[in-house]
Amino acid sequence: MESKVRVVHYINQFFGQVGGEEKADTPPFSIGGPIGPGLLLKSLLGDKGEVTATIICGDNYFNDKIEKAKKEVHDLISTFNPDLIVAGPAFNAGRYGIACGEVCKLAKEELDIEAVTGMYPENPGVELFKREVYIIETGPSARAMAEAMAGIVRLGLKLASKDPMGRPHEEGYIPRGIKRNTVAKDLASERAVRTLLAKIKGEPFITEIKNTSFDQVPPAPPIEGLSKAIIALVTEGGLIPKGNPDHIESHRATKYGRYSLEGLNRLDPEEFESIHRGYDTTFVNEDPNRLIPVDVMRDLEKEGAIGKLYSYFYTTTGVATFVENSRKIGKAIAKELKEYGVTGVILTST
Amino acid sequence: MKLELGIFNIKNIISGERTFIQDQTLFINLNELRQIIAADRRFSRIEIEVVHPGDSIRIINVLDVIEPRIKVEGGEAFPGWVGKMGVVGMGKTNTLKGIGVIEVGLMKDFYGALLDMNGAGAELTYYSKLHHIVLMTEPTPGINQAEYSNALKMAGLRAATHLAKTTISLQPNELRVYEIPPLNRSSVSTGLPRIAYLYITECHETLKEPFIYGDNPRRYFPTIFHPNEFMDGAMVSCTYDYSPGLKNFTYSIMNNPVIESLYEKHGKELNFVGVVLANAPLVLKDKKRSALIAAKLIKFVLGADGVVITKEGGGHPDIDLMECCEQCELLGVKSSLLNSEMLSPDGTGTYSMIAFSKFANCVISVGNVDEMVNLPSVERVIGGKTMAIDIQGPFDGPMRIPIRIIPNAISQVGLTKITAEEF
Repeated sequence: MESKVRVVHYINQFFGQVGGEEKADTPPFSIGGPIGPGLLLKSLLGDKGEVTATIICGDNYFNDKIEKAKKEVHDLISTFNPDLIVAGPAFNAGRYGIACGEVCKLAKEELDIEAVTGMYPENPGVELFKREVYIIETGPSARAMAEAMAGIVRLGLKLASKDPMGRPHEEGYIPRGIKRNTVAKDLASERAVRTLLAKIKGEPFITEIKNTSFDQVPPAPPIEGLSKAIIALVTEGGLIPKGNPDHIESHRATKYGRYSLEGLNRLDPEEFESIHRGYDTTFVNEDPNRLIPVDVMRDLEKEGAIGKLYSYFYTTTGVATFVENSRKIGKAIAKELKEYGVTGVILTST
Repeated sequence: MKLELGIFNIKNIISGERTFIQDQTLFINLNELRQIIAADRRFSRIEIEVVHPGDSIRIINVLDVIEPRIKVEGGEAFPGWVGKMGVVGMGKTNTLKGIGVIEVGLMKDFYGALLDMNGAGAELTYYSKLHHIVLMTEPTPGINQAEYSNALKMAGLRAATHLAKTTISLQPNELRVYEIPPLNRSSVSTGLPRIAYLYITECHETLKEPFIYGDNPRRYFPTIFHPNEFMDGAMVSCTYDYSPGLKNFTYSIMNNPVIESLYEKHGKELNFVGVVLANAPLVLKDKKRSALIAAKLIKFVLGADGVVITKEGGGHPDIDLMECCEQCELLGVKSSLLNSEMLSPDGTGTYSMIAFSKFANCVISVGNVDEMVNLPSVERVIGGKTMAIDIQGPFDGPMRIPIRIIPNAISQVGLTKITAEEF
């Protein structure tokens, strides 16, 4: 017969029966066995598991001294060597939700122990931890305890037994923002026609790709005193010194390069080329200045229209690049330009 | 316009001395087929091989897949290629079901797909369920990419026509009649919702676009097509430098499942009013103009209540998809869209596509193109020794590749059951 799943239950001072808001500074401590909602947890686990211990911590203590609290909870969990951590459920209590999320995350990532919690979808802990932590969707308050704990136990036992995890709506957890390819019952074309007919009839329909909003970046104010400004050239057009010394990818870039323009009056097609896979690079390879206009910038320097062309250009390939990578690359380039005292930048896109 | 499509179900291909059909088996004289294709001096080498579903074979550098079809009566097939410049989509056409002609080739910047006929990779694509005639070619030194791609397309279509010619005096297993009449002459009940299909093609540059009546689609305004035209090869893929998961193969264009689905429901659940073909120009102003004209045709000429919109390609055509959606919805035409997603190999990306309209509330997913797939080792690899730069061999061993490299696993016209679900 399989051994019982050893569960450690994490709860706050209120559910741990220490006290209310006035006891929210209580540092973490443990007791043997279940208390409060842990009694329900114990009875739902039945002969499949046992609540070995309960860790109780004040919500303010956890949130105010977060690193210290995490370390202390980590050490407490280690002493019990559990198979599963159950935290909360926290319902719509924000500080409690964040504590439950942190505890589950550290159990999984630092101790390799499966963990589950429960929260109301609007709890701020959901946005912070849904990707790393399985969070059972609950009602807003402890009135939903019975249902919440039943979901937590069902999912927790599944995690502990390493069974494959089903879809969010089947298992009751809040979608984690991770998409996996699956096989649908019908062709995509058939689903498209059927949902369209439903939409026209005013019947409910499901969209398979949810609307995402994109960042709007307000433009920086105009440069004052352009004749003294240092202007940099930056492109996503994939221009690199021949040989691609930094191995920048020709698509789906994760890197960018910074190459010297010192002493150059124009870019020589013998020395530079574009490795970009998303546009016709013929003209750029014939004359790289049409992507990184060094020639024109030198003229402007001479005329005194600008103070100086910054002595390096930055480059990457913008094609099929994950937005997350683009953002990282953009931020890193902007930070460097700022540090080098660049006042303005010309971004050439392809 | 009325097209009678004679379906010949083929269960096997056997290499033989003559090319003919008997008992749903296609016998092929491969030498004869080879000679037909080898007449083109743009090839320095041609090898032809037959592969079957379940074979432990991996075909690499797969550039296109074509279903063999031939016009038997009343019009043309594959206009501007093997057919004359004539009207397509009417009369009688015969087709070999269960068969694919595969074009294989490699040149600088060519981006072929990898098709496993057995195992985990085969499970992901309908194309592994077909018997294939694989045309493996090498370009004559000195010819350019456009010339090689033209030679490949001609070879694929010549082979497809040659094989379908075997049906000419035979009775088909099934006769499918595709007919929707000119506008306002419909016998279909007026109570049914009027549905159009908007097909947005990629039109990027050489090797990154399909051909329509033999011409590239870079400069044209949205135009009305009869759905039958696609069945007769009005549009073929020449998209040889494109991530396979983001392009539409000729097979899927000829067997466009959105058109099939709309035809199947025509007169019962909806009134299929026609297709609008639009392109995906490279400049935003052109995209907006194209979307506006497409929406105008759909609303005021076709009189549609709803539209299914598909596109081809990754990145910038997302903008066309959304612009078209927005213009249609603004005119009161309800839309549903199909698109693939780019969510990184672990599916954690936040942005499925590079543009999203607030009007796009009905989007069907054909999967995350970046998800990794494990393939088993195979007994044989055909189609070359190397592939596009980012797919490394050895090709006979177990491989781990993004799903987008498998042809038609991700299909933007929807000829796939793969989707992406949130976990």
